[in-house]
Amino acid sequence: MSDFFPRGVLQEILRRLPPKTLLRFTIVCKSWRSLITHPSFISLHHRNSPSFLFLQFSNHFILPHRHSSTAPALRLPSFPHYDFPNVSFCNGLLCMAYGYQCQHVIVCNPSVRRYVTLPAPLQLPCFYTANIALGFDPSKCDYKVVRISCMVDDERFGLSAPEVEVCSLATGSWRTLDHGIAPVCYLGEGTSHGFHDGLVHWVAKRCVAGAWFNFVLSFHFEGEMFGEVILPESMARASLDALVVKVVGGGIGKNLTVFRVGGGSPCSCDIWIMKEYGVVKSWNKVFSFVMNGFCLEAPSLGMRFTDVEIPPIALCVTCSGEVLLLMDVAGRRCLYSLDIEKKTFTDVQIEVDTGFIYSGYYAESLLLLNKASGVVSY
Amino acid sequence: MQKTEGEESKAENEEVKQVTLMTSDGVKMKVEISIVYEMEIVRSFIEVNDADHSVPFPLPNVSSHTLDLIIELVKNEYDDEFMKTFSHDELKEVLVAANYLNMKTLLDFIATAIANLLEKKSVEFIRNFFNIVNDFTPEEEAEIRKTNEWVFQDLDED
Repeated sequence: MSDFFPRGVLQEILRRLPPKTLLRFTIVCKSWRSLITHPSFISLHHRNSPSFLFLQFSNHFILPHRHSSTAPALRLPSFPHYDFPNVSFCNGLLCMAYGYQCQHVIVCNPSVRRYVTLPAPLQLPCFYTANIALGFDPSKCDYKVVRISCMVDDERFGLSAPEVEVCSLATGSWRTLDHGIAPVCYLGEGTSHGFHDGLVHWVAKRCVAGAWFNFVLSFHFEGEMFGEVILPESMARASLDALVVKVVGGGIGKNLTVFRVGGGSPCSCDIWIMKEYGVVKSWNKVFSFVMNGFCLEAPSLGMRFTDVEIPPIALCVTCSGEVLLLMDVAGRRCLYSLDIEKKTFTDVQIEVDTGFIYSGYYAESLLLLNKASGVVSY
Repeated sequence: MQKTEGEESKAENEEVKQVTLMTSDGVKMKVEISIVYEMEIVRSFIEVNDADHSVPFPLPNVSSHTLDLIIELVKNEYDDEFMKTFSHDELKEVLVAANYLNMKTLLDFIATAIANLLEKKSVEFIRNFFNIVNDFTPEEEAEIRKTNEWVFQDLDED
């Protein structure tokens, strides 16, 4: 290190640089390398790194809300034998699980192009499907992956509690939680999830006296506990004509948000927000589209789209509170941002060439850079 | 009417209020108190001791040239264009001085400016900028470069 430059002053510069630059600067000299790869610098850098909305489709990444004009070159590792992973985001890490039972799981930091492969989870009979999510445990400063496997065979479908396992990044091994820690329910393969206050949420369903009901299942990564949030009656009744009920929120600090697409024609696509977490009465239908044939109307906005082949798909709630929707208008798949309060519905000028898309909040970081064993660069 | 006069005389008073600083090269500089107040290290001393402002406050780590640049930067409300006229050495000196004087706004401004300057530069540029001697063996350096080839692409010309 140069003679007059105090380490603290150097950190002032380095903590403001993106991971790609810092990775390059690890070969400036040995003292820079030890500074940049030190756990305390990695966490200092992470604390200063803002979160961006991250969208992935067809192996391309964009961070559309980033201030600089050029999006960073984020790339995922590719595994030729697997397509369409189940993807989960947390801070600067992505968890990708492949297969209908999520047997092959990696945790990846695309900012430094490093990933670790988790050991194989429980081997399950073929009549199980599985779902995973990645989250952070602040008490242990550790990332955890939870895998929830549900039995789908004809006779016992919906009558048993899911099998639950947790793998922490620090220990690198799976732990099976006590059977019955999750309530009796069914969580479909690839059910999308939403985060709110350190909890991950899915819409699950269960059979009560021969009828199916939807509810929101939550998992708390720190306490490794499940919880339930009751849905308003119109969504709780898992009638055959409801096509989609999914948790899309919230963005950072936003309320629990659920998107529902009804069946039939005309069908309605509703956005519901729970203003006060856990208080059933605070569920409020805040927005509705009506889809009639190939015509999509937003009555509260006075807008009408023709040549719409499928109902809009809600992706997520952004940190500024807008709902991001995937639309298919006149053969063009593109993203729209819906601001319910300001009553605006804007084409964000991002065209999507596939129906397969993930979104979430992501912060560029140096995570995984100092992990010694099992890390693969790509 | 009276109120206006009061404000004017107060403003005049503030304007003349200066603190004398003694730089590392022995130059005594009179600096407006509003600027001195951004220097936490001096401010805390003045506030605690209610010192006589005519006795020079020693700054053994800051040269008169660096102090001049800092005063101009603060007066110009941290103007990017003005800072672009700085040499690399001046940038580093101002950064080290901002850290020593504990000037939070200046430290943030100058560290961000240097980070922006360095973001797309090559490793050789960085070594040159900070006068760093490479202590890796060629084999070690080649190994790290090979594992992370993608980070050495799309750089600025040095």
